[in-house]
Amino acid sequence: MHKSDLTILFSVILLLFSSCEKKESFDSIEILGHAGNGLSSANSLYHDNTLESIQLALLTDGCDGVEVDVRMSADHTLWLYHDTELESETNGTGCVSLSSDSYLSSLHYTTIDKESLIRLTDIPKDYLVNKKVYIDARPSESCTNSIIDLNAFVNQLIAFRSACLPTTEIIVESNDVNWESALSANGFTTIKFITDFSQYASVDDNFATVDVIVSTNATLTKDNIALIHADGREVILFGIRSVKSTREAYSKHPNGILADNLRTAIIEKR
Amino acid sequence: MIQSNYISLFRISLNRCKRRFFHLFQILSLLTVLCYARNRSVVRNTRKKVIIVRNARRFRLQIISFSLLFFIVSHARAQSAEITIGLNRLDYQLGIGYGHHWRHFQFTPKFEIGMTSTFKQSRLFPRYSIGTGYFVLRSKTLELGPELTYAYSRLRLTNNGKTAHHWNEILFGYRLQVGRAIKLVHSANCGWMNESFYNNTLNKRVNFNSFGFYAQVGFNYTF
Repeated sequence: MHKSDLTILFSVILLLFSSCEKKESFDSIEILGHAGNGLSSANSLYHDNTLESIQLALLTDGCDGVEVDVRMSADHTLWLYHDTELESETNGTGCVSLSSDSYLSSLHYTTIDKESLIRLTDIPKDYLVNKKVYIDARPSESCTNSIIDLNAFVNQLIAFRSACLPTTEIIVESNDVNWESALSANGFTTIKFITDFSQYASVDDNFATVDVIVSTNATLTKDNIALIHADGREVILFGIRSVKSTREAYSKHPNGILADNLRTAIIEKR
Repeated sequence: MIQSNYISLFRISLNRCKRRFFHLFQILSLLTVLCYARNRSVVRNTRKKVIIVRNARRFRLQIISFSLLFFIVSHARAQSAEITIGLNRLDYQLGIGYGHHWRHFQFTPKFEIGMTSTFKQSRLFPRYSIGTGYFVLRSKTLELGPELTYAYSRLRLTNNGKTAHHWNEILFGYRLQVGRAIKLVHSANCGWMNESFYNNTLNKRVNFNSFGFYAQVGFNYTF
């Protein structure tokens, strides 16, 4: 056999092997914008939990939904706000649960764009077609050290669900046992947040009806996720900002991620 | 008396203009003749008429751009090439630019790439910008003044090219240059930023306006 023939044969074998290398597929992993277009993210154009931020995330091709932080006002209306005190991020004072709707609607975030605080119902329903809304329900208030009215909260969530199209999936996170059972009884997909995998063992005892487990990317390993999947539950990871953490999260094959940098998450999914 | 004064002033200005633009006029006349000759050949050659017409158009465009470039370059106080590293709301930017100095002004067309997207994610993220600085302070070693910049960048998020995101920025800030032939360059700008992209569900282009900023540091070489 000639030397040139050997080279050709070697090249063909090399080509064959390189073409057999299969790339990991992340198609099934859903990307949800964390608090709209990213929580406290410098890359995000707008403040978290604002209409602009949510619209930008929902309209971006490749984004499957948004996560929002929901608190109930004194008038029993659901408002989007992450922190406990209003003075930390807005021009207002006090807590959401002690504030009236008219007061909250007059507030804006202390950013250059001065985005307004919005109600959950302000999210445009036509933007939510075939999208997922992850509601981080905040049942307790540090201002009063009390748990807010469960029935009123659930009724508001039901009203929001009724206003959305059937193609919109609403999932709710709550870490209170009573809340979880009430939400589950009303047909909501429920989420439990764990700070350590050891806490997962107690989920079956206290939160038996929970459908989704949410945790930080650093907390759960690929094996942990596989175990949760074996129990028929889904996993959502958060705390994902950089390219490295996005790749790391995807390699664990969760069901979804809460992305703080949507652009990075969408590009990495390919 | 007044009339003759005006006439002499006009003559002086005309002569100055002639001196300044003499070489440019010469080159432009030569190029015009060449262009005319090319057009004549278009009429003569019927077999390859379409190609030749297209070539002639391209040639005319080349002449115009060349003349413009020639005019710009010949009227510079100095020129410079710069390499910078910057940061905006989208990414870290690595850029190369050309500085055209004219009186107190400096025009800086520049090409940059978003480093995270381009290098880490293998997705080219170009940014084209043109800055106009006016150096209020101008000494041999220090130049400082306000700067107005327009920038455009584009990034394809999914494999569908139609849904690429576009950013337009109009930023205002300052520019500082320290040194002689090799200068340390620094500028910081802030202003308006627009993100636009096509949405398949709404079937239309959507726009989002926000606050934008850009800060850079680098070196330039003046020649």
